[in-house]
Amino acid sequence: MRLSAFMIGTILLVTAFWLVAGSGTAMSATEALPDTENCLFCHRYPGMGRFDESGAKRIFYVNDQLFARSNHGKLKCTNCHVGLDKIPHTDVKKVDCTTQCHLTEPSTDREFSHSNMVNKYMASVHGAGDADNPKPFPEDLPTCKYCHQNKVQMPMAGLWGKSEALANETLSRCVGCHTKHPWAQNFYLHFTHRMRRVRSQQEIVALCTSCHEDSEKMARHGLESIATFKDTFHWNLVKYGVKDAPDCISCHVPVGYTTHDIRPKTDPASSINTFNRISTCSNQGGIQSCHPGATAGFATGRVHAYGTKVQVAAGKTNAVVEGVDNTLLIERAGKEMTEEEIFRHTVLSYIRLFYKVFIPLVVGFMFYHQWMDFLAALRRRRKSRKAK
Amino acid sequence: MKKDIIKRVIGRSGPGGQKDRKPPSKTAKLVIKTAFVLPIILFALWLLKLVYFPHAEARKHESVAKPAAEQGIFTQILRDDGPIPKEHFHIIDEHISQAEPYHPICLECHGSYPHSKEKKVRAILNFHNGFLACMVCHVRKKPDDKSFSFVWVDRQTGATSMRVEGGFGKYPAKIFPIRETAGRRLEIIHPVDEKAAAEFMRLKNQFSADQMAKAKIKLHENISKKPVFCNECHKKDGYFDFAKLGFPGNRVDHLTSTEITGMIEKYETFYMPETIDFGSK
Repeated sequence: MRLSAFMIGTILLVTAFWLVAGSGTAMSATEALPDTENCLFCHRYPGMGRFDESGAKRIFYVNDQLFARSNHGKLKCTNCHVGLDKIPHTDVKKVDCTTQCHLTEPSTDREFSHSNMVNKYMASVHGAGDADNPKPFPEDLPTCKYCHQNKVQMPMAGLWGKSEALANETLSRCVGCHTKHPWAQNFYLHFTHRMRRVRSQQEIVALCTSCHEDSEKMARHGLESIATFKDTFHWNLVKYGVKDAPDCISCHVPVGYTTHDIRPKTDPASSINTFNRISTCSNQGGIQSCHPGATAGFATGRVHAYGTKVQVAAGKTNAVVEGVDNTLLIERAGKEMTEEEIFRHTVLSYIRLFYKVFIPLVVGFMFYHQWMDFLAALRRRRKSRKAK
Repeated sequence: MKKDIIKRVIGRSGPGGQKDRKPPSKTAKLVIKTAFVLPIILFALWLLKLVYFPHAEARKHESVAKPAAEQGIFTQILRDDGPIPKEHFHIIDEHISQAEPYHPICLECHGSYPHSKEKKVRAILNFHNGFLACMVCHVRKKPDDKSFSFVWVDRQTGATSMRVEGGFGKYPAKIFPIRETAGRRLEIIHPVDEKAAAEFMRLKNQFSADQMAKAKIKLHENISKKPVFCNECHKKDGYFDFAKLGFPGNRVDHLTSTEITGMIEKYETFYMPETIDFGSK
């Protein structure tokens, strides 16, 4: 009898220990959500996939553990993949990010949807426009998946030591009132994930340039390739991994703007519109104040080096440059480039020309001088040998 | 000044110096002189490149982003051929991207998603490819053949085992068919041997269309015309013995349960395997 009481006590103690330890480990791997729709019955197999009719590779494998820790980890598959209610799946619709996913959005108590963002995006410089004003070549424009993948939530780390310890301390304060621990943990992960940037500066530049360096694609929309960005000081900071180096979004989406609502610079709502540039350069309100003393003169300076646009505006190049038809660009250049900019470009071209001549002359002379010096040294040595 | 430096480096330090040191060879002198001149030449070249070809680096990146139409769709395919498609939304783990040094030779031509004909089941058949070698289904065991059995073969090392590790498609090994030879040696069955496949790959560009058709038939001559169908394995006492391959009892029950067999029945109305014909189409 005494033995069994001891055993029961031990079991209770061990159970209690595991419960306490389990609840205290705030950042332990989030349990995968119960697969109520049984999609993982097939989709947990890594080899699940095929090539579709267009020849594109389609991977249908989902890692449930990683998915549960991702931004969309609380959703059921059918919340996004509408029409997957038959086996074999016959009437599958393409995922539409404006779908209401039956998740209550806490600030409005309404069903959550990305429609707000998508609507903004459609009206932005990257959006396909609307039915009344569709943009040409919509296939060139990035869709949601071009920039967004379902990332694993990465909590804030590094500021106050280890992220796990930080999470434990913070969550222990939260769960006093918010008793549902998984909810509090998810909220914490979501919130702290948004406290930092997901992509590095180099990754951002790589993402933007994957389209914006395609001169043909740009020409179809009356834009020029941003290859000249690679000539700038900003790019060199990014290239060499300088902390807080300015990438594309630093100027095009500073504090107060959103990546989904980037506007052309002629739009007063654009961060690079002449009237907003001082604020953009100084990044007012941001964590990092880039050029706090920016003046109007400073803010009108060029960030991207002059490219094709100014040359076509100045009438120095034809519509076709290196096989790319820039007719649309010429139209825009005529409207957007001011006389002052053309003058600046002309002055800069003369300075560039001067250096193109001056530098080879200096280097050439240096070569000549070194060579003559070398020959003289040889001659002196030969003479001294003869003298011996 | 430079001359002094050269002298110091090569050890001729003048009347007060170490006179007994052996004078350097001609080659050593040439190397030292080159070491002085070469950086200047390289610097000059770099400067010239910077002045006259400032967009060289940018253009290097630009060429990567050239549209498919300009370079040809097949050139584009050649460039895109990574394990993960560019606009894939869900997070991918190492099971998708890890290399598999020991794999059935079939995958060299048929790729990681070899099933493409039957729209409804191709993805399901393809996931079996993650843990079954092609010949498990495509080389049919004769009912009375006692020498024929199956074994796990490690993807990285090729080592065989009768123990299962991992689960639900995430195994470090694949199931291969084996045959016991006369000397009681176990041999993995390769219906297309590596030598024949290598010879085919070497000569295929020289074949005419008819020769190619003939070669394909020859290459696949040991492949069963009718592959093993889903419900031949997913049933009690089926095509192979799951327990013998190390699957625990509950997993064996699951693999042969009505949950799976019922699903197969659903698919059966859409799909019955065709007889494979490598020559006539």
